[in-house]
Amino acid sequence: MNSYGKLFRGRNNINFRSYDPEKEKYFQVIKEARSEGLKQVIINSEIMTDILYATLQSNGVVLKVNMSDNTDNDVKDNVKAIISKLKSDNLIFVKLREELEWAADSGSIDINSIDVYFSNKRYEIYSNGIIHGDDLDLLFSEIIKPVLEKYFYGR
Amino acid sequence: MADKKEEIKSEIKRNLRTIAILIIVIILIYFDISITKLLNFTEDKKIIWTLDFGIYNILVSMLFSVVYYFYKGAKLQIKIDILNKKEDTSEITIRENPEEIYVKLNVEGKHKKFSSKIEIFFPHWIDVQTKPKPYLSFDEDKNTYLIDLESLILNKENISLTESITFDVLKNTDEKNKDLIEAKLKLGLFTKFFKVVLENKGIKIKSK
Repeated sequence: MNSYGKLFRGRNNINFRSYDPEKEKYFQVIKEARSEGLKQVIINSEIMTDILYATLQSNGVVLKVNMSDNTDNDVKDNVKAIISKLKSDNLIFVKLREELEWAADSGSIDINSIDVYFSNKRYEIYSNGIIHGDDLDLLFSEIIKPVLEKYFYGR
Repeated sequence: MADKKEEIKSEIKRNLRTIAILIIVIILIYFDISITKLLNFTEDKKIIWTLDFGIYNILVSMLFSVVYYFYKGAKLQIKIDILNKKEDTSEITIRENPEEIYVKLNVEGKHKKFSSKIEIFFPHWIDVQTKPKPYLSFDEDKNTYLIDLESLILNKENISLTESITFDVLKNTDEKNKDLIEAKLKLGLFTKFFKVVLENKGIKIKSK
């Protein structure tokens, strides 16, 4: 089922809430999570790059990397070219990492969203912590949770 | 607001300095301590008074500057600027997507011991995130990050340190809000007067 989710973090754990944008208000979902002591997760460029790498390691495919508006057009073109080659050779990820190195600088948010294909399903991951796709539980447990736990709690 | 406060403070300091110089000069002239008379330049009392007043004014001003230079040099200088990372300005507007602000911390001078940490208070309508670092801690209840200055300066005798810490921020409500994010470092009166100079500039943050 195609659904939306929002990523949150507690003192010692990461989780996500599924929600239907047509039935629930985005900020209501946040308010409820905050009342339980959770905070929104911001997917900065460093986390986004780690998610891309985790996707490739899990035999997934990177479909798109949407950079922010103030990114140089040269960088945008290079990223696009590398991604088209990534489909045939995962080792090209090293080049993508190099290209995104400036963006992955601690805390930068220069990648707005990414589209990945994992376990025969397509997913979108946004910098504001929204995830969208068919089986969010699978994406969360296999890709996102391990990356975020390493980033926030070093495990 | 913070800028205005600083402006008024330095204006008061300037005026106090002028008043202090004037008092010292008047005392010297009152007790008939005259350089002009010593030089036998003139007998005219009005000219003697004017010359003494001018010379003492210059000498006392110079003495004040020298004393201030050594007084300031002996203190540890701490400068904390909070800025919009993309534009390097002191203002930021948050919409649907997260934004980045950064704390630029500059410490110069001789080592001083600190019992308190630098506190950066974030408004309740902001969720804030940064990569964990050994000198950073977070107070959930106050939505406040604490920077342990002691562990940053690591008992070095002479300090010349610049550290940038990026904070990602995202609003957690659709209401339109405005606030000022500032850093605070609690210092005792003695420390403030004799040991540390603290310059602190915050960032105006609003949600749309």
